[in-house]
Order: sequence, then C-alpha cells, then structure tokens
Amino acid sequence: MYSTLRAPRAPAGSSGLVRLLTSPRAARLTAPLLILVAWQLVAPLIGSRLLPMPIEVVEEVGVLALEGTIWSAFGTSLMRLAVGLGLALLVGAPLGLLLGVSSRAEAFAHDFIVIGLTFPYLIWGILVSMWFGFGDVGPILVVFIAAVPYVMVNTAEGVRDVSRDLLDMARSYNVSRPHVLRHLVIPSLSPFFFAALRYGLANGWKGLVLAEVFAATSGAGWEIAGMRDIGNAAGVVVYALYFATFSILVERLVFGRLSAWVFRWRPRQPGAARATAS
Amino acid sequence: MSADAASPPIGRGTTKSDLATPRSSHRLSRVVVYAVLLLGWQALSTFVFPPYVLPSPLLVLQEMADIVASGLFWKHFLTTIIRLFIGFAIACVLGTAIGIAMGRSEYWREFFGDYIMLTLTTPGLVFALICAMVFGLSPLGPIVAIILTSMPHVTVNVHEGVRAIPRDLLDMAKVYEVPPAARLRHVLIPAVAPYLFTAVRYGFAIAWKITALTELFGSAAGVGFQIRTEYLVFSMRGVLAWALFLVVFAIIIERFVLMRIERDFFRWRRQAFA
Amino acid sequence: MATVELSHLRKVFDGPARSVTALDDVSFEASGHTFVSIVGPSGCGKSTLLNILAGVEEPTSGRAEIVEGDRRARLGYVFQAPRLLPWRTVIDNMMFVQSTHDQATRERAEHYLEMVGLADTRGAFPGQLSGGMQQRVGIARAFSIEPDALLMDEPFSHLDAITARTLRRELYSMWMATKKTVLFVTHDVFEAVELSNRIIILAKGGTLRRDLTIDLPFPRRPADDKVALMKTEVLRQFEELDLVAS
Repeated sequence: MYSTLRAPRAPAGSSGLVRLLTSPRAARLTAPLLILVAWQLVAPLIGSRLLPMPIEVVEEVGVLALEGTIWSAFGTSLMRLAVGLGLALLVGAPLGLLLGVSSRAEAFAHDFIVIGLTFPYLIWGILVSMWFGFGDVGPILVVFIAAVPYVMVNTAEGVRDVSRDLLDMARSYNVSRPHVLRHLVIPSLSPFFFAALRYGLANGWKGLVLAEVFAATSGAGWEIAGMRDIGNAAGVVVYALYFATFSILVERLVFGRLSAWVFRWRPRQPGAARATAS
Repeated sequence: MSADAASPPIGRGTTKSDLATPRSSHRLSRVVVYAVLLLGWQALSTFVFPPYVLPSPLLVLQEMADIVASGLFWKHFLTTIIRLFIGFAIACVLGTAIGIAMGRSEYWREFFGDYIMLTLTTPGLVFALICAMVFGLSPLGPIVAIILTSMPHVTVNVHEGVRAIPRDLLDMAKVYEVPPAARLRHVLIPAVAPYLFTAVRYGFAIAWKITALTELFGSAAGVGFQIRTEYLVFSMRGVLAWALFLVVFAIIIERFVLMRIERDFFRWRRQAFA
Repeated sequence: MATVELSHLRKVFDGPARSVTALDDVSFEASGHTFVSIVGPSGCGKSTLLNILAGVEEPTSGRAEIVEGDRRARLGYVFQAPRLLPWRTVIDNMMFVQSTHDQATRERAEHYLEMVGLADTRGAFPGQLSGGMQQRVGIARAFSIEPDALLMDEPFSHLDAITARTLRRELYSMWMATKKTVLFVTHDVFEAVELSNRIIILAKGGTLRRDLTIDLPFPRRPADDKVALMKTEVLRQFEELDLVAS
C-alpha cells in the first residue's frame, strides 16, 4: 500500500547506481563533469592556441601559482575593491536614507540612478584612464561609481520598508529614541543593508576588473587581459578559474554564512530559493 | 488593521515615498537631470580637462554627425545590433526553457544552480576575453558571450515567475471547469508575464554591454571594434561618440519600447517596477 | 486608581473628497477596577477613541484623557496584530518597552510571561511562535509595564475562535489579578458581554448611543444561562439602534 504512494525516481527495477546518478544531489556534480567532457572533446578541434586543453590549464595553474603574480594581482584588486566599496557605503548609505524619507529627493535622483545603472563600465574604465592615467585612483573610482547606485537604491528601499505598525507600537509605549533606533530601525534596515553590500560588491567587482584593463598596470583585470595579449590562452583560462573560485568563496562563505547569521530570526520558509538575480 | 475605516494609523504623519507624484513634476525633474549632466560635462571639459582628455558635448555631437555622414555608422552599428539581437533572442529562448525546467524540477535546479550563480557574479570581462579568444574575429564571439552572460538573468527571473504561479487561482479555475486554453491565457500568462518582462529587461541591459566588450577584444567590425580603434589613436572624441550611439540606443529601447509595454500591459500591478 | 474622562469629544477627518466624522460629542467616565467594552460597526471611531486617549492623535474638539491622580496615566496598548519585533527574542521584546532595564525589571517581565504560560518561550523568536502565542506575548507585554490602564484594540479578532476563547480567559484572570482599568474595543457583542462590566455602543458617525452596565457576577462562563440571556438582550439593543444604516 505505501509503496504506491511514493513517486518513483528511476524506472522500476533499475539499479541503485542509476538512481543515485539521476538524483538531484548528483546533478550538482553532473553539470561540471559534462562541461569537462565537452571541453576535452571540443578543444582539440579548435586548437590549443585558442582554446587550451584541460590538462594544459592544470599545468598552467601550477605555473602561475608558483610564479606568484596571480596572488598579488588579486590582492591588489581586492584592496581597490575594499576602498571603493567602503567609499560607496559611506556616501551611498546616507544618500539612500535621504531618498527613502523624501519623495522629492527620490524623484530628483531617480534618473541619475538609472543612468548610473545603465552606463557601461567599459566607458567609465576608458574615461578614468584618460583622467587619472594608470594607478589605483581610476579603478577605485570606477568601483565607487558602479556600487553607489546599488547602495543608494537598497538603503532607500530599507528606509521605506520600516514597519509603520512597529513604530506606532514603540511610540505608544514611549520607548526612547535611541532604543527605537537601535532595536527597531537598524535591525529592520539590516536585510536591505545586506543587499546593498551584496550588489554593491558584485557590481563594484565587475567595474573594477574592467577598469583595471585600461586604467592600471596591475590587478586581476589587467593580468587577465595581459594574458590574452601575449597569447597565453591557458593563462586566460586559469585566471577565469580564479575569478570563478573567488565568486564561489564570496557567495558561499561570506554571504551564505553571514546571511544565515543576520537572518537567524526568520521563520523557515518552505522551498526557499537560492542565489537571486542582481 | 482595525475595522475602523475612519481612523488613520497612529504615529507620524509622513507618508511613504509617493510614487503617484503628478506627471508634470516627473517630467520637469527629468529635464533638470539631463540639463545638470550636460552642464556638468560642459563645465568639466571647459575648465578642468583638456579637449583630448574630455571633449565638450558639442565636439562629441559633431563627431557623431561625421560618423553618420561618412557611412561608418551604418556599417558598424548594424553589425553590432544584428549580433545583439541574435544572441539575445537565443539567450531568451534558452533562458526561459531552463528557467521553467528549474522551476518545476529539483534536479534541474541543482544542475544549473551553480552555473547560474557563477555567471551572475563573474565579471563580463572574463567572458568577453574568453569568447574573443576562442572565436577570434567571428561574430560567434559576441553571440556566445551574450548567451553566457545574459541567459542566467533570464533564467533566474523566469524561475521566479514559475515559482510564483498562483496555485490557488489555478485550482479555482479547475474547479469551475475553465478550459485549459483560457486558464493559460487568463491565469498562467498574466502571472508569469511580469517576471518574463523583468527577465527581458535585465537580460537586455547586460547583452548590449557584453556585445560591445567582446567586439572590443576580438572583432573586425562593430561598435566595440570602433571604440577600440578610437582608443588606440587616443581619440576620446571618437570613443565617446561611439559609446553614446550605443547608450542612446539602449536608453531608447529601455524607455520607449520596454517601459511603454510595461505601462500598457501591467496597469493592474499596483506595485512599483524597480 | 486610574480615571478615564471623555468630555464632548469630537474628531473629524478631512479627506480629499469629503470629511468624515469619527467621533461626535462622546462623553463618559470610568475609573478603578473596571472593564469597559466599546462596541460598534466599522468606521464608528472606536480605534480613533483609543488613539486619542493614548495621546497619538489630537481631538478636533473636546477632551479625552486618562489620569492617575494628578498625572497622566501610564498606558499599556494591545493591538490587533501582535506587533512584536521579529528579530528580537520574546524576552527582549518584553524588555524593549520597559522604562528601566535592570534585573528587577527583567524578573518582572518574566513574571508576566509566566502569567500567560509562555515562560518557556523567552528565548524564542516571534517567528517560531503561533499567532495565538504571539498575541499572548503582546498581552503580557502590555501588562508587564504595570500600567495604570490598558487600551486594547480588537486584540482577538485575528485569531480562531478556540484560541480567542482561551485568551479571553487569560485576559480575565490577569485583569482580576491586577485590578486595572481596561478599555476594550471590539465589534463582537458577545465577546463584550463575556468580558466587561460596562458596554458603550457607538454608532457610525461616532455618536455614543448606549452606555450599558452588565451586572453579572464574575467569572462568567459563556454557556451560562444568565450570560446567554444578557447576550441576547445586548444584541437586541444593538439591532434596535439599527446601527448598520448610515
């Protein structure tokens, strides 16, 4: 009786192995495996100057890791990201607060923000290279420009979202202003501040590496473009893998763990989704 | 909320950011914004930067006119647009299919989940470089780059849409024996449409940028290629002119095509569209 | 001993289309260990009356206040929705509304949490509690500041009948134990009869139409004959006034 109620995952009579392979848990591994296989099959057809073979990439990982530039390159980029993002938060958060409380300010800023979100980082990269030459200033400025609209928009959203009901409740109990700020307003803002941080970081990073191609002589963006210029295809792929690893680390460790801690008070929602769109 | 309609909530009198401000003030502030930007640009180019570093708006406009007059505009702009639309169309179709698959099956969610996360967070530069490298001067470079970077945005939003399908409304329609075609048209599609729309918007915003970027690194024609050419001869005038062609094009599509569709079809949605 | 005083209270809201009179010349007094229910249809100004007494809205004319001796009374307010801070634990929510934050206050807060039987949930987040439990915390919170009087705005209207019945019993015991003045807004006539010794009926347009004394002994069992008869009587008064029309 009970067996008929359970939806079968694999055809009846199939082995446990097949069932394991078609289970969702295996899906996560199947995807990269398929990519690897396809890569191995396609690469010889295109030619290793254009698309390196997987084994060449593995070799190059070792070469670059030992040589050391790749580490300092990412280090430099991260430093610039941190500075630019810090500035974006410092400037963007108060401005976002202002937008949240004043509808006139919001109407005024709206189009600036749209332009800020639309204008390609490529052009910013070229412009700052003209203005500031090669160095740290250009890339940091581009991080700022890329991140600030996201910080502003999310902070404003957070301010607008503070629960009127809870504020009324605090007011009816005559809770002191500092307490309301500390225990009501700020915790209410924290998910939005988190989003501001997250999208500010993601977009700041994107703007940064592109700016480094034009406005710097160091950093991950400059290096990966350089690899391509000298025709080191494997090097390009290695750098791409490092970028990917960086993404995974940041997403999983930083935002995954941090998010779980910041939102530990939230009741469990059934079927919660994963990473969302920017 | 008390059943008492006559009493507004206790507390401060300030209202939420009012999205229903009269049209005239919106239009005015828009004009002001563009005026401020233009004036700022002019001021910077006149007083701060020399003309080869930041040319004035007029110089750039003149350059744009020259480009159009010389016929270069049509050759390169069309090249870019064609690649953009081909790539974006494929990205939309694939993205929708994957998004639906992910919405309905945990297996596909797991299968594509990591890839989506990676492509959303990896800088476009990486994709542009690799595609330019692998496909060389062929138009496949930009097209594949668009598919790789734009598709995840479409997928994520379609996925959201599928998850948001109102099961209770569908059940209600079934109970009243509403035929499947009518259910599709009046329940499913209106429910998913806003997400599809957001998907297209975000996807498009990424697509045109990545096209230009990939062309810059590996093409013999197109707006991106022209930007690189101008950059190599240090012509800021040229760089900005071509960039503006693209930006204005994007704004026109955004504002006049997409927003117009949004306004007409989604009037019933009281919430603001970010 | 807290005293509630309303004298010719009037409140008019000026809307974009027309002005709405929420309260129209309402006067009554109440003091001491009394449970007053304010009953009426939607839009009759019941919540506005509480808001004005709580000091968060100004009357258009007239006077409304709750005093304790010669000072303004300290008030506890229970809302329809629990209005707990979702990111703070139950005990932290209790502490949030206190005026002092020492150990003695904490123990007092815990004591009231025990009175509603939720001492075990002190470390839980509101999201982990059911609606009924959250509302009980809201009630405990109101009582825990040891106010001079309590204002309650349809606190049970969002709960299912069984939970509401349980909470009504708890509210009654707390009222008997603490001997406060309670002003209780509700649209449910039967609930009013079960809980209060005085029922004030407001009509749409905000006029005070009846001021009834419910002279039945406590505790009141809902199924009791006398209580049932009283319910019918009050309901008849309600219908006599034809309060739905406007």
